[in-house]
Amino acid sequence: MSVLLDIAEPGQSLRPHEVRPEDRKRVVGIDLGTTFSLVAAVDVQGKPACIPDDEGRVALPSVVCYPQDGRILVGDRAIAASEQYPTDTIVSVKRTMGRSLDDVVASEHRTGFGLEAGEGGMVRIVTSHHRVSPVEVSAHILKVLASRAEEALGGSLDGVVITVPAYFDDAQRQATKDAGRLAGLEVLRLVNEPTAAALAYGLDQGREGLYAIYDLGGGTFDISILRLTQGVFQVLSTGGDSALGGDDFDHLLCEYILKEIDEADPSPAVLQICKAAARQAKEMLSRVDVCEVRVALPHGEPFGIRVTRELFEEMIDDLVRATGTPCRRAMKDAGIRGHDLQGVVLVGGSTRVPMVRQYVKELFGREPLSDLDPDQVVALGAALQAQQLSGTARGDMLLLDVTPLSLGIETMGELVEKIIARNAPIPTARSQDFTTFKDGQTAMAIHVLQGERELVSDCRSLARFELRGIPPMTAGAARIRVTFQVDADGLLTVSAQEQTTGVQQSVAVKPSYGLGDAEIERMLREAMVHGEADWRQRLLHEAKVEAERVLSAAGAALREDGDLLDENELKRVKGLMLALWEASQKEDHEGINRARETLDRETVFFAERRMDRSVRKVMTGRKVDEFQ
Amino acid sequence: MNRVDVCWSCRGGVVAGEGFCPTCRVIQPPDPRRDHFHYFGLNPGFDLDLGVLDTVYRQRQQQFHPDLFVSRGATERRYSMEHVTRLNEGYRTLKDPLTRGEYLLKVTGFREQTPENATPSDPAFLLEIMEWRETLEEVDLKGKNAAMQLQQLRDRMMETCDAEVVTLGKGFHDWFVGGKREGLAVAAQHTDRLRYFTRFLDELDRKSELFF
Ligand SMILES: Nc1ncnc2c1ncn2[C@@H]1O[C@H](COP(=O)(O)OP(=O)(O)O)[C@@H](O)[C@H]1O
Ligand SMILES: [Mg+2]
Repeated sequence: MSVLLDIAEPGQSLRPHEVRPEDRKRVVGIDLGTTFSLVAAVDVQGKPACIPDDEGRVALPSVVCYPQDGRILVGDRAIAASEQYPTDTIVSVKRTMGRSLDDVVASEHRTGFGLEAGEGGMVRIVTSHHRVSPVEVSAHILKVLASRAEEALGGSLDGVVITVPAYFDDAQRQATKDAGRLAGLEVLRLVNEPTAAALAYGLDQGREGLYAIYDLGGGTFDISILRLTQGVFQVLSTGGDSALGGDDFDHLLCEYILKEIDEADPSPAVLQICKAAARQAKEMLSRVDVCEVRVALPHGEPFGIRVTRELFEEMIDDLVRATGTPCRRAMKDAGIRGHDLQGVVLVGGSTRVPMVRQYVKELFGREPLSDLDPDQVVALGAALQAQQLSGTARGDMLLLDVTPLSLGIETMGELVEKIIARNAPIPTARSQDFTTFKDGQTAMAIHVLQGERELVSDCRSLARFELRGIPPMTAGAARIRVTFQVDADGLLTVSAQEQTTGVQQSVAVKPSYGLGDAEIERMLREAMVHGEADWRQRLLHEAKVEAERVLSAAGAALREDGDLLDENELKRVKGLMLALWEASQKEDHEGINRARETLDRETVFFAERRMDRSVRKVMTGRKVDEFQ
Repeated sequence: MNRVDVCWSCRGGVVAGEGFCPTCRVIQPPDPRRDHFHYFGLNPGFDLDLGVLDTVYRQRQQQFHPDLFVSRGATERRYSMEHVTRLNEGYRTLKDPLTRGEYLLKVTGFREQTPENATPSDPAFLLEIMEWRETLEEVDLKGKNAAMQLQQLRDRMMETCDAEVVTLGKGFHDWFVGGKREGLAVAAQHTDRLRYFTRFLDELDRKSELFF
């Protein structure tokens, strides 16, 4: 008899975030950067650390090389091969994620590889011998990091958190998530990079108050303002530029070098060499005032090119100042001023440039903090969040993030009607009603947009779909409710429903840049060799979780109101509970669900008696919760 | 008196809208009949301690956030999502004086819909708004004092908004504390003014961004 109550006991004492030690999962955080990518995990003491490769390096260059022989080289090996295969080496692929060819061409620098428009306008990369999508290239980087982590943690991964720039739009986020899935990973969550950095910082130092995170990396700039209170990391506002970073500094220096060596139309190989020289010069200039870089071209004498910090600073002045606008806007949106901040945290390799530091100091009127390694802090924070999501964390921290850009739909006159405003806390859902403008109109086109501007043409088009089957009515009589839902990853789902008649129809769309893309869909299917097994595993897991909940509920009910049952009834209920418990120890999800349904069905009478009692308690003037 | 519901999981009694079942401690769905004030456990009214709002918001997030339910069943995950969506919506609405005012006019039954007219119907107020607009148009955006002029205009407008907030607050106070229905009419009038001023501020801020 007591066995039964005992089996219900552990479930009873389980709070949502308490988990038995044996359930510890293998989860990691991945910083999928423009220049470098890292993977980190939390150790048994709860401290996050980056996982190094065989040679002790934690940063994996985000470079992938596809030689014609079919090999796929990632990281330092790709860099080593890049001189030999300049047109097959992909760098800074993150700048092309979830973007159309037009977007990329508008902002892009010269590259060794080619670009073309793929399906749905999405950009594709063209090497000397094949085509590859940015999502695939990113998946190759993720795979290398994942296998590094699997080796270190001694088994396959249960899940990953991948970071994205806070200012990434929906298409860029969707593309990142797809890359994770294509790499065969369970993406627990996409987390914004500055938020992840804040997490690592705040937890490390036990800090409280208002902080700004200024993250200038290789290809992106982000600013986030957060409030840290007792383990809650509440993002108040965010902003940035998803195509601004150290790459742009390299680009300017590279153009300068090309001019110095008189190369107006460089070959991919020469371009590769000059870019590397530019990067080298830039990084040296963070330490010294003048430097000389050697540019050794395939033919002829090597050049020695002198660059002063002064000249460099002149070149990048506009770019650095361009980070000011998003910062001021973010402060305004958060309703704060520089002096309200407890600190400004620097993240990203490009914050090593002295001029950047100086500018940040002026902008916020205070000396910025950089006591944690700005290269690692994002991955460390991602690992902490992964741990939290695996249900094995201490449960005393929580991230509350926002959506970076407003979301809306097209209305008359090519205008955008905003439905969710930027910096709205997520997850969130909002609806707005629209109507027909023609008599007898039976369909309505819905065009989903993202951005701050008023004109459709100035915003990012995310998806178009049509709501059909609206019953014919006079113009303005139909009521079409459009609902926008943004989940905790910042990903949007839109549905539309006709309200006035009983007929309800709803269409859910996923933005077309992402998984809707047939190309990626196909690749994903190919990648899912384990699909069937995973699916069964998931069903089984769900069934077990449900069984545990039901047993715990039944146990609680018996403890509370067991006296409502006579001896026979009690015996029967306990027998059914035992049957469910036994089923839940086996690996058959259908069996578990059957046992659960039986218990549910056979205890309806008990539930009714309990309900009567509850009502009587309330009738006697006392609140139910006084009886708990 | 508190309504009693049945816990969806153990079928014991739950006070409708309580977050968790007192018997089995499983998460319960939010009660759609509760308004934002009730949901946050605050007294309905315009005067609101924003510090308390923040604290309650945080505490509820720590109870209901989906991150805490990742390893639970589908129903529990859905309820967690519903709570947090509700929580975020309520927080957004109550935090800002304008949306709080508009919301109060709805829950008091004063008016169902916020008017959407682009221009105010009151001619005197229309004139007032037009004067503000003119001052804004007159700022020479290419001039060297543009940023400062915009800032000064902004400061003046902020003062005006603050005064509106005080007045509309009094209107609501008259209704909630004094029981005078006229208070709501006053509140509505000044909420509308605040809305036009806020729109003006948005416009001004878009111009100021040129100088960021
Ligand atoms: N010492 C340095 N001085 C200037 N720039 C640097 C320095 N170290 C790294 N960087 C630049 O930082 C960028 C990479 O930063 P990182 O934060 O890793 O970016 P991402 O996250 O976008 O990959 C590159 O553009 C790199 O050249
Ligand atoms: Mg980064």
